[in-house]
Amino acid sequence: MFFRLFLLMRKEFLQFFRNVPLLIIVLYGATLDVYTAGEVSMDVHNYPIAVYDIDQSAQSREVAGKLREPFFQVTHFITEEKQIENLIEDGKVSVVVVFPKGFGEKTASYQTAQMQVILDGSNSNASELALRYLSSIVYEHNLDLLVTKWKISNVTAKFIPYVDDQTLYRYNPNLIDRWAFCLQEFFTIMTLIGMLLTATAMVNEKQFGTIEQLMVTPLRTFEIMAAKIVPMVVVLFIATFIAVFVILKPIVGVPLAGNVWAFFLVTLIYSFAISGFGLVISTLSNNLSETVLFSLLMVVPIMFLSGAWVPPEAMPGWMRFLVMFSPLKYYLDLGNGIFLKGNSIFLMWKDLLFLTSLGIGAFLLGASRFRKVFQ
Amino acid sequence: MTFSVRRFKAVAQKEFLELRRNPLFFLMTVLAPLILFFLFAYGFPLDAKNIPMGVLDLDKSALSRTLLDKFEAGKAFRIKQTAGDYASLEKELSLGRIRAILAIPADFSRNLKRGLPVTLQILVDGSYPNRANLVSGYAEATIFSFRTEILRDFFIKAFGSAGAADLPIDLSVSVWYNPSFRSEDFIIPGIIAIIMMFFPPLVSAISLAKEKETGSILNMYCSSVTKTEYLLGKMTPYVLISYVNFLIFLLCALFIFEVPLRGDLPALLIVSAFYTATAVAMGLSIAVCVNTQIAAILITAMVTLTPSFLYSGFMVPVSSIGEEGRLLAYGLPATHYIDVARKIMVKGVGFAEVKLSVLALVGFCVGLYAISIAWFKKRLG
Repeated sequence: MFFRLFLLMRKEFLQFFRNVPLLIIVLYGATLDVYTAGEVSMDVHNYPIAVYDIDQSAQSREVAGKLREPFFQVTHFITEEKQIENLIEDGKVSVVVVFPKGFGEKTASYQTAQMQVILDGSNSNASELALRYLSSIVYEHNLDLLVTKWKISNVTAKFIPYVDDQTLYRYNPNLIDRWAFCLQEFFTIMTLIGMLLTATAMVNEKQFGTIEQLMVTPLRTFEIMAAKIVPMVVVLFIATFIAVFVILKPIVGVPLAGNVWAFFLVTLIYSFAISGFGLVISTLSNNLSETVLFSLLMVVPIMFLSGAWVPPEAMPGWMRFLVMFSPLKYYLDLGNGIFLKGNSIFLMWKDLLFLTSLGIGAFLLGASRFRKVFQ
Repeated sequence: MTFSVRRFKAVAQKEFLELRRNPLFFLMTVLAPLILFFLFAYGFPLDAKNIPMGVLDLDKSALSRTLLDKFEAGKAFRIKQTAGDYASLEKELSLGRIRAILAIPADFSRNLKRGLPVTLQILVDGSYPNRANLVSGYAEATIFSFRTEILRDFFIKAFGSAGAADLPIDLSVSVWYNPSFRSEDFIIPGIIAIIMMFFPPLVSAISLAKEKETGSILNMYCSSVTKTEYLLGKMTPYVLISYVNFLIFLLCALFIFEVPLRGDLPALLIVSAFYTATAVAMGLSIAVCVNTQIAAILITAMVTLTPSFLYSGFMVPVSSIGEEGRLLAYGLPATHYIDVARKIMVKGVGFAEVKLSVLALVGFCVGLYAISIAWFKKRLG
């Protein structure tokens, strides 16, 4: 029995390794695709800003001088009012700061002076952030002015009840975007490849009628299923190995804070879980195009609900419930936990438990449907 | 051979019939994108909301309570755990159950009352840097408003008059196009662009790769149809269906999600038609190069979805993407389309202001079809 199982697995391996384009794609997914995902940076910095200084006073220049990197970059000095509209409409700048006439005089005599800010609200998130930076810069300046206004000497200025804050970042102290993006892309691509490979390997036999040949062999349904899944798991495992030791650790520089073998164990469980999902899809579809559509209909929500793009707590309540059924969520949490946080898998036993049960569930569902369809 | 409209129509008709007779496939090309559209549109609040936060309040005074109330008042934070020691909070952080820890020192209110500076510690989970930035940004904004109140009280008390704390510089802010900072206005045109860049390329890639893989393309090889007629005819149904899809998305955006349409509707419709044709052409050009469906599918999924998602300016403005990333960004049709769509819908500009992006899209469209036709060989091997 083991021998014939071995033979069938060998056939699957040969089939996979002889499909050169497919091999290249899997390799690309595990290496370059993961690497390039790290090129993007989500941080809003060097926000392009335009200054329209009508006042041209020392005071206005002083404030304008404080609008600098890393938050802002003054890219345009405007001399006419109508330029404001052009710059914002073309998206060249998203913030325009205007110092009206008399700004310097008023601040010098400690009257309240207006400083106008025009924001492009169409990029709501970035403009909110920009406004926040801007307010705090102006506030610090205000404070300086107040202190001089009341002639508080430097000595007594220390006795102002000032609430300061100090922010530290755990697990990625310098907030290197690359780590998070490459890991995220890797977890996602494993899901996509794993699900599609398993599903298509099954459906191909159906579509080309070679399933008939398998049916007349002494192999049992269970053996056919196992022979299809085990090679895919092995392929995913190899891809993981390459991704971790060729790309993620040496090139991207992700700190492998936890136990790498624990991560491989998690990957093993995840590969089986994902191929379970692939199995379910393969029993639902009759040809490749259907397989792909079903897979996408499953993969994209799985990705979306994983929390990789949107943190679960920001989703509406019903969606937060669905998050529980996304296997990628657990893989992501476990993977990030091991790679970045250095957690032990015993600490994260709940995630592991949920992932395993999801995998078993999908596997059982797939297996029972498989029996019905193929017998 | 000259281009024959009759043959072109025949191919298009055959493809359309094939689609119609495969109800599952037909349903999925129409229904699946719509489901995703709603999932994304409802699930993409980019504002920070309900960030779970742990608090280590060593002071436990009225003043520290006021600070915490400030955190709870906004919708950004949800204080999840106040009791406990540092170690248990850190465990929660490592399990991802809270995203930040706020530590209030024991002498917080005592020092403030004596006019001494105090420092609050914020520990943020950095495993998602963009989220960490958002969390610390909101936390600092909350502390900022608390700081302002404390200082105002101090100045008024120290100098007697209520006007003592008037700030010398007053910021007057005006927000254009989107005064209430509605993130839907920003996000939904992007979601349309992303979904349009995902499904149409896939179905078009599958449709050609399927003929190649199953061998039915041989019928075409030995017929009188030219490759230009064949490829264009084959893609026509997909462009049309995808465009109908787009129109449905647009209606949903306008009437369900209340995204404004301030600019030229005809301009938007024309640009979107080019974008749709480009998306279909992406799938086509990939399918021309490979022989199996699975290869076509995987390549299409990799070159369309993720790059469009990350680089197109969908979530981050293109200006803050790194140097190489920006080059890639401008090489993506989605970048140009999102730019045009946002400008027309939200900013209300006309054709003239977006002509460069429109030109780029037309270029992509024509270029991809030309490449596909040139590469496509009407023979075996």
